Amino acid sequence: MIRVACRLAIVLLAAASTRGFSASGPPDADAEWREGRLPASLTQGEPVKGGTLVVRIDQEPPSLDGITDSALAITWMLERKVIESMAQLDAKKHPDYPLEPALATGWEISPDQLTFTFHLRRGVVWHDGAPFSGKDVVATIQKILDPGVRSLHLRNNFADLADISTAPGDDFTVIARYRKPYFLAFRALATLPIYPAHLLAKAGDMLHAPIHRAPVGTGPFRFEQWKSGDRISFVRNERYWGRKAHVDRVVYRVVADPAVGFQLLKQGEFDLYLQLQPQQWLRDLEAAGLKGRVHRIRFFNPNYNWIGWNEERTFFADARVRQALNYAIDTEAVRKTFLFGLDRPTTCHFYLESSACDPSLAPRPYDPAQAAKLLDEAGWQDHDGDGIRDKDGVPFRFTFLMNADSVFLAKLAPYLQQELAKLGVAMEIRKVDWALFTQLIGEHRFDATSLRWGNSDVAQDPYEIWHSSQMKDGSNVISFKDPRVDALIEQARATLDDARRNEMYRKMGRVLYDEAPYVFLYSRPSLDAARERVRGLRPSVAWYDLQDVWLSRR
Amino acid sequence: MKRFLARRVLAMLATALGVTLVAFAVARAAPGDPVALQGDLGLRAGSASVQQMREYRRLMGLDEPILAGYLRWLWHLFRGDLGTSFRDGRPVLSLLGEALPVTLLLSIPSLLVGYVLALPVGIASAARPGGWLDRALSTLVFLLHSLPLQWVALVLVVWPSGLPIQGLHSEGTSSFGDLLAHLVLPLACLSYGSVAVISRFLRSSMLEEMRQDYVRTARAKGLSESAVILRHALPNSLLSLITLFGLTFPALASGAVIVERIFGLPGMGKLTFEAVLGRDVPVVMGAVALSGAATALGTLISDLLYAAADPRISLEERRGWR
Amino acid sequence: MAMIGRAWARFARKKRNLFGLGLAIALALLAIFADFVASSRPIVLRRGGRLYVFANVIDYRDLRSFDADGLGPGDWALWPPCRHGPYQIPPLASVTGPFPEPPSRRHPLGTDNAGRDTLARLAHGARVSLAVGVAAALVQVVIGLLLGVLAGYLGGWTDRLISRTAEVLLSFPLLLLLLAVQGVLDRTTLFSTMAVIGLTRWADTSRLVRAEALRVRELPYVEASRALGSSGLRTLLRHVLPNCLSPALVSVTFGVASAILLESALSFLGFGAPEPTASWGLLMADGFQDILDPAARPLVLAPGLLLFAAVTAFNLIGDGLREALDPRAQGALDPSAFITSAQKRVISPAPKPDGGDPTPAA
Repeated sequence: MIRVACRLAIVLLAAASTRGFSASGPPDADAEWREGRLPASLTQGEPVKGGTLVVRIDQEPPSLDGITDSALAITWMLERKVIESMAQLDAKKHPDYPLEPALATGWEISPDQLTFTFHLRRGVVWHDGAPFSGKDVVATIQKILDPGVRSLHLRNNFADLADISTAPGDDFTVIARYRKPYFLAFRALATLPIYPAHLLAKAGDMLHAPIHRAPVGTGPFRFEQWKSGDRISFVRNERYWGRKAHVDRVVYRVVADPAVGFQLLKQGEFDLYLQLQPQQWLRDLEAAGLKGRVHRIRFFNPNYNWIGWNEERTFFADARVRQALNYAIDTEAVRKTFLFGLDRPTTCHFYLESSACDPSLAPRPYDPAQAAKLLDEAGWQDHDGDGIRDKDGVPFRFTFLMNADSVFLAKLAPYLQQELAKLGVAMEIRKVDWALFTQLIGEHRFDATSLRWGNSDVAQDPYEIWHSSQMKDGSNVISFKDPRVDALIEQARATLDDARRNEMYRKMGRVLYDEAPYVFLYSRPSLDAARERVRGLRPSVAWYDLQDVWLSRR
Repeated sequence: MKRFLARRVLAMLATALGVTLVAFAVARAAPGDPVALQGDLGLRAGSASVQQMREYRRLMGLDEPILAGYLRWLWHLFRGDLGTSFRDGRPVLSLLGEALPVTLLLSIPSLLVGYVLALPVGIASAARPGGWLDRALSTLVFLLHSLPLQWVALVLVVWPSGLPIQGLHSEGTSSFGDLLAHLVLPLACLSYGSVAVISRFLRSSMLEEMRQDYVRTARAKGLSESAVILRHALPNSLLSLITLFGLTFPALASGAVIVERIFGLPGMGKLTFEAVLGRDVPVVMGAVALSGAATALGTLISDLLYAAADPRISLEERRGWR
Repeated sequence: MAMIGRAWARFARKKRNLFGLGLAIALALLAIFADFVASSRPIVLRRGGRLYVFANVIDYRDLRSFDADGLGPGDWALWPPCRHGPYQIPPLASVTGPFPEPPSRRHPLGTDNAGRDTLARLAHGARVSLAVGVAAALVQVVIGLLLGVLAGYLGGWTDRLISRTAEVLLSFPLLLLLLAVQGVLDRTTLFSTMAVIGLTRWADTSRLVRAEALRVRELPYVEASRALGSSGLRTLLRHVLPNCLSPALVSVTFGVASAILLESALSFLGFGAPEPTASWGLLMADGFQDILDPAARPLVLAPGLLLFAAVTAFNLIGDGLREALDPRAQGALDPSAFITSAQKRVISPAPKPDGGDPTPAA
């Protein structure tokens, strides 16, 4: 499941907001602006009811159906707001995001961690008026497990689910049994968005059902309208079981072009603007005189960029070569110039300041001499004097595969090319569109590439990316294979204790650091902006809880 | 006449089959995975991506041989069913139904604006070929014709004109004036090129006409120059615009990607573009079929109009090609 | 010969035509001598007692790690006016950024978003854009001429087949083809862009050529030649083909203009030449990403203006040529231009939404 993940996360924002609340006496408005923190005062005061919150999104989601599609925008728009789960991440408890009750009022976990019992909330109604019960939970799982529905992204989480049913005679108790203990099993089930059984029954493969584009949930907002290519809107659910939303409507407007979007922001068309470009966030907002009229938001979700070397290629089979290439890149200078210093460096697979990360593993410094030395040691020298290193008659010449849409890679790739050329390594660049890119990556038809992994929960399992069994079908696209890492990952999967599991992950991190299969680059922040009148906004790994937001009428 | 029509229609059908077959083959054989369309899930940490792609291919019927797939598509088309989008499962017909009006809203007015502006320009140039007005207008037309569209569009967006730059209407309003305001900049982008082409076309065909004997006769009769131009040369040269209309007809339906994307208009261009990028075969095929039909129809209409308007043209001579 | 002379005289009669020609020549010179306008290496360098001539063009091995500041006493260098290479990213640790930089003494037109000198990229971009334009137009004309002549001269089934194929091509989404090619070739190069543009657009040319061939076929002397028993091929080569050269020539000039525009549109979309090549379209696309940044203005405006200049130049020449070669014609714009621009609309691109990496995230 998408949001399955570990405990890793949001220490960073926590650190930031702590400072915001308590640090040096009076809140420093300039520091808040600089760092992209929302002033604490914005969450205080008496909420006002009414108004329309207009949000800019840059891409329309393919549908509003989390069962068949996993676009980030779907998660953002629907979860917690429209479609609810039995439990949800507590967005206020920033670093750890423990679960809090939602559609379930409570739960029990058996000591062997194989049986989960959920007690569901009574009196909840779906947006169409039908009553909610445990049958909906069971039906949702069944739909996901149906091989005729394209829900593999969710289905994989329930591979070890033995059965799930309501308790005999009690539709408000759901019991799930698992075959194997797995540390993410409970979280995956508890945070699964629940769909109405009576509509799922008629939905077939989902793709042609009304709820594919017009979702029906139990949340504080109810779907209103989707005008393709233009806007998607939701209205307040007046029959919500919990605290009702403050704003009357939420409208997501699709504005793809960043320049156009920024013009509209200047004209005051948006209350919440998602995905500013770095330079817009850093410079243009202030230059356009918007400081004071909007607040900048910079928030780190669990994600990181990397450059990966396909270890099926002879060049990259040797760890010394991979280390050398790492030394050849001035990652810090790249961060400061190409990325405007907004991203944060990382060397860890997990969320930045998570305790699954080992802070003593600093990024490798820029050291061309060391890089050359390592390449020499690995046997890659310029034997024939043509300016390009070679070994056994094979010149060190490879192709870097990049996605044509990426602005960052359009700068990084030529930089890499130039730096490696100085080192006697010839790199060519192949630029392809996203559809082809994913295919080539999936089939391992590349020498080197760069991508970003991300997750929407702080808890996550590295199995899919780093376990050697995942070379064929999983996301281990660079064919990394190390028995030590395999063993640690397997151990961790069955380890339910967070501290012990994180210790294993730190060990794994050290192996990865030495083997250098990736050049770990940066964690990228979300760069958003909220209009002054927006109150109660709080960024978290679960995005924003718009039901808590109100519009000040000052 | 009947024979001509029958042959024309047959030829059109042959072309349409060719276009759709090639398009289908290319769309299916083009490397790249439609799965990439499911948002960002193509490569997601924490899910079996390759396995997933395989499953999706199966569910989308992409493991079927190309020819079989094409025949199935044809059969469905024959029954009026264009299939459903890989992306969101919606019927292709309703996607086209949403996008086509937006595109027509842009293309018909832009064509009208183009013809309306081009007429005086073309006439003025042809009235005194080589005169200062002709030279000035020709230069202007050349400059317009050479302006890169994406450049013009973005300059218009950044230029503080006060006009709306996004979508078809503002938040909460749906008045006609508001719609009109939203159309100004996109229409400007779409029209300047056609003004250039149409006015040059008109100018050249008017000059052609003015060398004809009947114009000389008219002049000899002592008609004023303006009467000669407006009453004799112009009506005849308007004929040639009919041909041009046939050529522009398909463009009416195919949309303008740059303009639609920059101004956030969900028309045919954007639909086709995104479908191609996402390897959304049913939508690509729907768009190809639509533009193929428009092309064929445009050619047919202009042939017929031309034949009806100018008895000198025999239909048999013009068959086959154009 | 006399015909060419007459044609030239007619061509030269209009100042506009000469202006177009001059502009095209100037741009061609810029493209050819780009290395003498902007290069990270001197034209002539004397270092350590050795003389390196044309170091900007010739890849001397001992200059691979050349450092402009490392010249000793007695060394000297003759530099091109702009001392930056088109692909040269400055040592990042020593620059302050942020990119793009506004125009300065060091970078007269500023830099792009990777710190590369805009002027240098523009000069070298001329090479890419013009090369693509000319090569694509040549491909287009060679195929178009051949098939057009065959269709017009032979008629019958050949004509029908060729005409149908052309019609199919004309209503085919070009972008789809380009994506297919992109996946089949291991690397997209300039060459593949040229080839795709040329291969899909010969129909424009063949239409014009065919009409001419049809006309020529019926001319008395061609009929006479056939009647005198010369073979079909001979008649074709001796009489029909030469007559069709003038529409082909006109079509090639217009072809250059529209291929340049098409390439810019494709680059804009990210389907042009791969990094780090600098075509004008690519520069403009780079500039668009920072369109609100005043420092990026030259990056948006300059390539747009150059594109505009090049397209104008070739359109002017094409128009002049048509008038000169066919005195009856009175200079319509290339009638196929309308189809072209219609097609351009279907395939031509806009900047990607945030331009960022689609997050494969959850």
